[in-house]
Parts: sequence; C-alpha cells; structure tokens
Amino acid sequence: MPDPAETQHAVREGGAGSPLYRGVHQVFAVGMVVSALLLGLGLILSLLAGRTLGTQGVKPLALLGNLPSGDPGAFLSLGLLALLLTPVAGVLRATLQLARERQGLNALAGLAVLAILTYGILRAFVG
Amino acid sequence: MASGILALMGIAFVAGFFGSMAGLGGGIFIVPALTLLYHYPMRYAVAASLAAVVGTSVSGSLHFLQAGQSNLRLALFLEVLTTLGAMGGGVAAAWLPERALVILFSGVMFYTAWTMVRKATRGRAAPPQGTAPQQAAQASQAALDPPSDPPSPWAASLRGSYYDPALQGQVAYQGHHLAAGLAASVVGGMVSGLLGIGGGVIKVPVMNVIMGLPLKAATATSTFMVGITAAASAFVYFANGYLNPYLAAPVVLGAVAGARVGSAVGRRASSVALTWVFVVLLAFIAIQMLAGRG
Repeated sequence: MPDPAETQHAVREGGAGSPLYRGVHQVFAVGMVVSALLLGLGLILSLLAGRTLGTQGVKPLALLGNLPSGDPGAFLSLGLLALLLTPVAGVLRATLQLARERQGLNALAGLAVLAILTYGILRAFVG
Repeated sequence: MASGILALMGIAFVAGFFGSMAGLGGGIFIVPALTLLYHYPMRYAVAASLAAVVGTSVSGSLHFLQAGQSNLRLALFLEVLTTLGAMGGGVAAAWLPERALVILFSGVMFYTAWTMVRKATRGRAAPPQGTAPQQAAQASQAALDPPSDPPSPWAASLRGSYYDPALQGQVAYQGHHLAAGLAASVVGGMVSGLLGIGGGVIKVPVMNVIMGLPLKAATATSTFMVGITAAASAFVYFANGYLNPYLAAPVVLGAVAGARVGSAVGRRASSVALTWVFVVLLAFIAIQMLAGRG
C-alpha cells in the first residue's frame, strides 16, 4: 500500500487520487459495466434465439431500431456503442477537469482529440 | 449456432490471454485467429479486433488510473496525432487490397517478434544495484536529468510521478522529445487503424527509450491511449458496415476476460523462455498469414 504522505504528494501533483484521475476512472468503470451488461444480455438472447455468427456485414445502427422488439443484435449493437463511447467520455471528463484546473494547453489538447473523435462519430452516424 | 458463438468467445479468450501475457494486447492474436481459423475477411476481423482493443484498454486502464501510473496529460497530447493517424488508417483500410493488409499485418508481427527478442536480450544486462527505495530514487533522478535539447514549453505538462510498489517509493520523471513522440503517435495510430492492433508495440518503446518515461508509466499511458485510438478507427469501420455485432461481441467479452487473466498470470510467469515461445509463435502465425493458410 502506498504511504499516505506519498499518496497526498501524488494528489497534489495531479496523479493517482486527484480529481482528474478519479473522474476518468469513474467514467471507465461505468462504461465497462454498462457495455459488459448489454453485450452479455445480447449474447444470452443470441444463444437462446439460436443465432449464427454469420459472415455478412451488418450495420449496427440499423439494428438499433429493433431494440423495442428485443432483437439480440440491437442489444449487442448498443453494447458495442457504449464500449466505443467509453474512451470518448473519458477524454471529455479529462478535458473538463483540466479546463476547471485552468491547465490551458492540456485542455486544448483534449479538445482537439474530442473534435477528431466527434468527426469520426458523426461520420459513423450521419454517413 | 450456440456452439459457434461460445467457441469464438473461447478463441478470443485465448488470444486475449496470450496477448496480455506477452504484453502485446489481444489484437495481435485476434486478427489471425479470425482470418486463419474462421476465414473472416480481414476488414471484419480488424473491426472486431478494434472493439476488443477498446475493451481491454478500458479494463486495463482501471488499474493503472487508480495507481496513477498513466500520464493523462501526455496521453492527450500524443492522442491528437494518434487519433488522426487511426482515422486515416481506417479510411485507407477500406480501399487497400486485402492482400496488402495481410502483408502489412505479417510485417508488424515480424517487427513485434524482433522487439521482443531485443527486450529479452537486453533484459539480461546488469541487474540494478542498491535497495528498492534507493533504486526508486535513482530512477527518479535519471528520469529528471535535463535532456540535451532546449527546454520545451510543454515540459510542465509532460512531468509525472507515481508510487512504485516494487521499488517501494515515488518515481518522478520528466518526459522530453515530444516531437519524436508525436511522430511515433501518427505511425502507431495508422497501424492501429489499418490492422486492428493497439499500436502499443510502437508507442511503448518510443515513450520509454526516446521520451524518457519509466517503462511502467509508458505501458500504463499506452494502455490508456490505445483505447481512444482504437475507438477512433472503430467508428470508421462502424460507418462502413464492417463491425458485425454478432462477431465483435463474443470477441470483446472473450478477449477482455482473457486479458485480465493473462495479465495476472503474466506478472508471475514472465521469463525469457516464455518470450522466446511468443517470438516463435508470432513468426509462425505471420508466415501462415503470408502463405494464406487457414
């Protein structure tokens, strides 16, 4: 276990236990649990429905529309989406914290990463 | 067919287990498993592997963030160009011939095997001297020694420290040579987007050897970065219809579980002999892929 004095030093330095690290950790933990639950549920439904793996391309976005009917593919797609959005949410959380701490250069880098990721997401959703 | 999904999960578990044990991430074994054993086209295998890389990265980062070993500020700087490279790789993968992707992947596998050989042979150099806390102090001093180039305006952002339980002390370091790190980030991102691997095999040596980060900090920072990088290119594959949820979901769940077990076992079982087993395995798979056997 780290020495409490060393842990305090690390917090002051913005390392382990600091709001920045704690915030990103929380986002990652929530994202991991949500996506694992959705993927797990989707897989169980797939097994019950006797789905095959298939080798054809599937547009996960098109499958999302089948969510109300309990389609396994919709749950799997939602789980994948939650998983892919988790690092994006982590970057967003880090950028907000860095901006709050007035670390301009770092917040700017975070914003640039977010802008690039948002472009990719828009391309995936809007086409 | 239920057994198909469960078998795929099992194969992804084994790929995640060995990839994590070798410190390479699951992607390097998932793509060959899907192309050689299941005969999936390379792009579908890459897309599923990218989703698995995001899963193993997020899961692995949970520990590193709690321990404070990831350098989030440095990661964000490097990710600016890495995500651009990753998206470029994802776009290029859509128009490159399948055979070119296979040849590139095999090349990266040979390169990975070569870096593992170098690491194994270098690891037999003189062992560190002194008690654990003295080694921590020496490591901090060595990392904080000013580089030969002029101080960078980003220097304050590239500083970090973490508690190393093995050395029983705080290790402080100062990253430098940001330009080299950024250049390697573009290459790492492109390789990740094109081939569905994390790209840590490029990032970790650059951060450790060129940028002067301790190996633990470099590994933890790379683990955090590869998830963002893989997500960036996975969205491109998503848009192009290559991300098949019935294929990707079992691969993600299997690989994440395998990586967790693999990293726990790897910490205890790391040895030079094991490294050589992985080197031979990587070379064998690369040759199989080049030969187009399945």
